[in-house]
Amino acid sequence: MKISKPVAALLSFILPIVLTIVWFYSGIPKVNKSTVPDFSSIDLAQPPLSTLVVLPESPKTSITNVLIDMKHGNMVSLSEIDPLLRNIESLGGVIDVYKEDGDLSTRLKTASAFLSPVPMNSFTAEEMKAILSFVERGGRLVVVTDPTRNTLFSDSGNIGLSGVDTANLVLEPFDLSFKDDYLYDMVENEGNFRNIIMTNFSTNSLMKDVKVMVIYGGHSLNASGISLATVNKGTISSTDEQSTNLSPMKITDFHKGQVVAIGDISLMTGQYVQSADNQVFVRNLARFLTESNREKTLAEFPYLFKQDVVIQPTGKLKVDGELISAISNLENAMDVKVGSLTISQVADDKIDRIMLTTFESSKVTKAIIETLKIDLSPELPLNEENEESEESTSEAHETKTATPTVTPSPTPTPTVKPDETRETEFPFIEDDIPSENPDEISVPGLGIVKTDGLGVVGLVQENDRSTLVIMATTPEKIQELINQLSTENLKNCLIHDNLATCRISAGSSEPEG
Amino acid sequence: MTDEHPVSKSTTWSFPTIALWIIFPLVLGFIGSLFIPRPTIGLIYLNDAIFSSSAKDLIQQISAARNSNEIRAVVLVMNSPGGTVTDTESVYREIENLRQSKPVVTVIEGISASGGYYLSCASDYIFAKASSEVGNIGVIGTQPEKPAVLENIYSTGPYKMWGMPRDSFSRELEMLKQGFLQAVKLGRGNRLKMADEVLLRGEIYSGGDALRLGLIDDLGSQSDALKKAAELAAIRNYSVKDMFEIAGLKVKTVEPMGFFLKDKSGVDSAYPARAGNFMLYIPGLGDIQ
Repeated sequence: MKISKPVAALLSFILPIVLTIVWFYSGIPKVNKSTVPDFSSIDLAQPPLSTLVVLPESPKTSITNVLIDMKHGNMVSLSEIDPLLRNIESLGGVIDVYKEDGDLSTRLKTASAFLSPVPMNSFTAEEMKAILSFVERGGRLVVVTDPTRNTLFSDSGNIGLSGVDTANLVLEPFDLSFKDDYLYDMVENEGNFRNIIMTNFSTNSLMKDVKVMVIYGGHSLNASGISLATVNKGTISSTDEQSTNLSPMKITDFHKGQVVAIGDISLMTGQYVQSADNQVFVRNLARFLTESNREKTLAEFPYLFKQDVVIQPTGKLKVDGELISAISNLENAMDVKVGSLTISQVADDKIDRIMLTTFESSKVTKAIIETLKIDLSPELPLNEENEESEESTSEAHETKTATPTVTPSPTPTPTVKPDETRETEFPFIEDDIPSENPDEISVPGLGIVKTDGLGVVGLVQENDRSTLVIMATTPEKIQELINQLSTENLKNCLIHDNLATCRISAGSSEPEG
Repeated sequence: MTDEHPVSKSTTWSFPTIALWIIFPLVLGFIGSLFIPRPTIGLIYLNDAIFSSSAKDLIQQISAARNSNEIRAVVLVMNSPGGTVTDTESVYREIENLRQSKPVVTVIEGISASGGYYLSCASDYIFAKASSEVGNIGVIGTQPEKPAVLENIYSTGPYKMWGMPRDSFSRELEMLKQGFLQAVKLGRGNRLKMADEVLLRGEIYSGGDALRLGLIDDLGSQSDALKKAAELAAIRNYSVKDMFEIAGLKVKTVEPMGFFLKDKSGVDSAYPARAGNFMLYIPGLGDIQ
């Protein structure tokens, strides 16, 4: 083979180059076409449209007090829940804030509902007892927690307080409890996994007209209670990563009252209330808090009346300076609006009244006394003569037929017909001659008791009004009892349902100083 | 009788002829081969959070790798919890540009979380250790302050001082999350064995789990990553160089001002000391809040 010189030269030149290339390179590098995210193609869902709510006018119903807890390190301010407060006020509710002043049991006496939003600090045993009693008496309790506000922090870090723990202690008697979790939905959410959309609601009035709600970070509740809303299928609880009938809001009935637990405060704050039907729910919640027709019981004394009250003296009771002074003291103690208390022999059947009477049955007092199941002329047993023996007295009580020692709850029934009181005249009607003041009367829960030094206070709820009856043996004793009630409330009294039997302290009506 | 054939001039290989036509071109060819770039794999270390300073260093190294004829592939040695969204995105785009001409392989040492994993997704192949921490896909941010007006400060619009409505913030965060998801899906393609909603849970996985879920390609060391990079770049007998020096950087960023939170005992943690959006894994963030 002949190789020409130029070819040989060319090959000689190329050879080291080729060898070098072969030494270092094995082929064509694999490179990929660059692809970067296309942000312009990302289509984000916008928040659900808010349902426009026109705040209703203030109704002409009785005023209801809504007590709002701000005493327990609540991780929310009143301004944050302003949408709820505005709805409460527009529905005729009065916002009463429980902060540092007064004890809870006293404050709850004037309240129809108690709202504790995101409490962090523990309630005392007395407070929890007061809340339990409040709900038993027909009060409405709403406890709200929020997973985004579940732990208190300080400069030195977590100080270990959990909102769920605090709320669960309050809710424990009512068999409701929050889970220490948060709800989320990775697929169908409102802009963020923790903003869950709910479309399954109960028929409870709290959820009326609510079709879509958004919870912006919410706790779920444990199994008991009635679910007001159930989360959608893809919504998961953070604690167990499960999705089975989770509910962030529940209600339960307890005696005469109701308790609602809500696992998200955000939905009632200004920032989130306008999402979906959140504000419809907030309006319903405000209605729930304000429409409570809680019947006052004697336990609420002296905060029994909110509006106009008529003092109705009966029998031999005469209005004089002493009585007016005593009534004035009572007015102050009852914390009623100045000028709302009047003395009149005519009591409109729509206006609350305080009836002052001796133990003498009259036409005016008869129905009330019967309603209270007080027997002014109890039948004495045959062996009643031996009064000195306490033993025999107690036995006698057990044998009485008129008034059993253990009486069923004398829950007042509206048996008093308004017409009976409408004709009342002052000081008393001629044909309404009261009976003689008895030495002994029979009182439900006590049996037969001597009337000497005895005062009886009873509360009767009629359809549209409350009647407080204050009874004693003489007008002077009635005044003393009023003064005593003004200063000491029912401290010296034995309360049995809506009837209190009191010992009238000697000299309690004497002016101070 | 002998027939004598005449010898052609051209086939006469005397020494001068050989020297002229063979040795001289050979020397020239040898000299010419010296101009052929020796393949080098550039090592880029990210042993830090991704913030303005570290991102600047990274981009300088990536640019140097892209512009160098010698650098035929890049191995990104990753140990980062992520960082700011913007800085992460800047580096990500630079890696994507580099990847158009040179393969990029990531080897995860300790952690490649959030923004760190975002960068990893821009590479052609991902190695990790079985114990490495991988994933944490998502974005975190601090909600802007509630708009207000101040007595002594005037602004020309309601969000001049506060940036945006609070609701817009959550939408922006969601958009960034979707972008992150796209980046992962573009980078991993059909190697990914996770549903979107699982991926976006923000979980951090061990290297073993990450391999099973397709977040990484293999378990391996830095030398494995170099081999893979060489394979992808179709090179052999390569050298390895630290891109930090090649990029002309002198001093490593030692004090990332304004990014880390210094606790009471003086220890820095990967907590952003300023508000904003972050692709960052912050263990125990709640304790610090």
